[in-house]
Amino acid sequence: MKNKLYSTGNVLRSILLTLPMTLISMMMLSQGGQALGTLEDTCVYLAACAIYNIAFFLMLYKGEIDKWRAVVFATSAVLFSVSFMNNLIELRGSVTYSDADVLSCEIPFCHIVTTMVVIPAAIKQTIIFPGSIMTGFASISAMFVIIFGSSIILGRGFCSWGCFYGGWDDAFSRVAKNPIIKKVNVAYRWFSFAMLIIMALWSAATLAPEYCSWLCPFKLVTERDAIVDTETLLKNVVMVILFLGLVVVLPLITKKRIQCATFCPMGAFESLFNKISIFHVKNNESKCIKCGKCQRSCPLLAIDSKLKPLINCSKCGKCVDACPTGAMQFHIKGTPVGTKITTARLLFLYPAYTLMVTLIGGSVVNAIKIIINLF
Amino acid sequence: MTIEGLIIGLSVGASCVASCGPLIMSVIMKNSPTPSDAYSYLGRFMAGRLMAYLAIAAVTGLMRGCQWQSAKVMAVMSIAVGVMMIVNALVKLPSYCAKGVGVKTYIRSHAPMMYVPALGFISSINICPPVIAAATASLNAPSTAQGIGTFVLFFIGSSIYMLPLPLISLFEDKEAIRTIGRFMSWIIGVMFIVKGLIGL
Repeated sequence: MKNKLYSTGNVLRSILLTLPMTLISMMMLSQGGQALGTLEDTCVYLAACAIYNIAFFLMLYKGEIDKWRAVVFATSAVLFSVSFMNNLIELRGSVTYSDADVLSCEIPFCHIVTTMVVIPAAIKQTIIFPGSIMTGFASISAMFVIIFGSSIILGRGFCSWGCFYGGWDDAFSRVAKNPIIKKVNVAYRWFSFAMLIIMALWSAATLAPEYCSWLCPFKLVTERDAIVDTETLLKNVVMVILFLGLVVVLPLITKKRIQCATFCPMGAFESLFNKISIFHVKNNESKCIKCGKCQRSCPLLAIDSKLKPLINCSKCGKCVDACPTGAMQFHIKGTPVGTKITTARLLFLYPAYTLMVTLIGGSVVNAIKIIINLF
Repeated sequence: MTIEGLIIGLSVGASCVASCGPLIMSVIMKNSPTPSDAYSYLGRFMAGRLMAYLAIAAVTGLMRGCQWQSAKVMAVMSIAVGVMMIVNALVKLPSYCAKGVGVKTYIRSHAPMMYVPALGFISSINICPPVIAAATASLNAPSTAQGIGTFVLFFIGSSIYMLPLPLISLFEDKEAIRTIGRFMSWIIGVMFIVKGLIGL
């Protein structure tokens, strides 16, 4: 079924509008030619290109952003973990890391750590994360450029288009047809901001990325401490409980992205960038019939009681798709509300989708190869 | 040199914000006062902090630098701070003291406001690296008066970094700030209690 408000109308027009993304994805997924070594590699590369471009085409042709974004986003998150963990096994022989790995600064940099390294970096000119600054797999400088660049352009759009963890709870939040817990207290949306302030200052005080050490649920699907004593055992237990609770169970029973909405300090940090990003989701009040579908559908609790998107909106497009009158729409700040809404939507989609392909696409190609080689 | 205390304070003040800042920030945010009230909270917190520093300096001087704080005492203090933060999450502090006549009324109206200096005192009564640096400079001062001066200047130098914290009360969305402050209090409270229990 098409969303007539936003569908590009015909197949040819949708294909033409997909072409720029096809070129971008072909370039990004080729990984500088590395992905095109053998015939098998080329086939995998073409399959990955096809997956990304078919989803983009359907977004335009069907006029539904969130549905197709979620399919690619969740798949990419799972495949990222497959690729990442396989890389670690090849490099270190294990998905766990030891004190020796930490001391040799061989831990890949993750974007969530950004919230903890900025204050010590600014005040003490010290990077408190045991990763490589310039070289190797996920170096700190490369990740900084990608994270800050994309955040300035997309704001918290990073959380629904670029985060290679977000797909996990996004996926689990869509499994159940109806939520068991129908109403989540919206005040919990501010919990992640409290986490941000405390983790940033706590890490600055101890000069260690404390959230990573103790509270990150996603270490279960990336890398984790080797269990060598009571403390590392405790860290692993906390990690499993947080992953099962925040990423699996609560999204299943609430149909909300609980980890992203209420716990992740990076989500709160990205929300601040919504103030400077030119793209945002806006409710055109002249068209709004106050049905509340946008608020009920929002997975991040980011729409208030007046049906106005808040600072923590991740621009996933779910409310835009759910709105029956087209009042909820992508908008470029400074332009008139209600005019050229399809143009604003397209101008947002290109950089957002490019971010997804750039940041996660290479891992998807690798993961497909790994899975094929298993058989 | 007395000025040494100021220089030490200015150089380590950022660390003090990182370690003590979340406590007073959560109190200010949770109670979401006006900027003048927020600075009143900060002043009271800093007064408690100064009392703690002077107490440490006095005891350290009396004990001639001997180790007087045991891990168990630190653990109990940590639990006390944790409990106080949870109290902050649950109870709203008054913005200003109520006016009244008589000792009873005075105590009743002022008791809640003693919470903030008490928090400053209990959270600061531990020997952290900046305090050790200041205490060393103080003990090396040629006279007792200069030693106290060194310590007071250290306190002033390190406190300057705290001054922008109450500006958070300028945010317009008071409800959001209050909610974030309440959550911060819960998180810090649980963290300190767990830390204390591990240390016992």
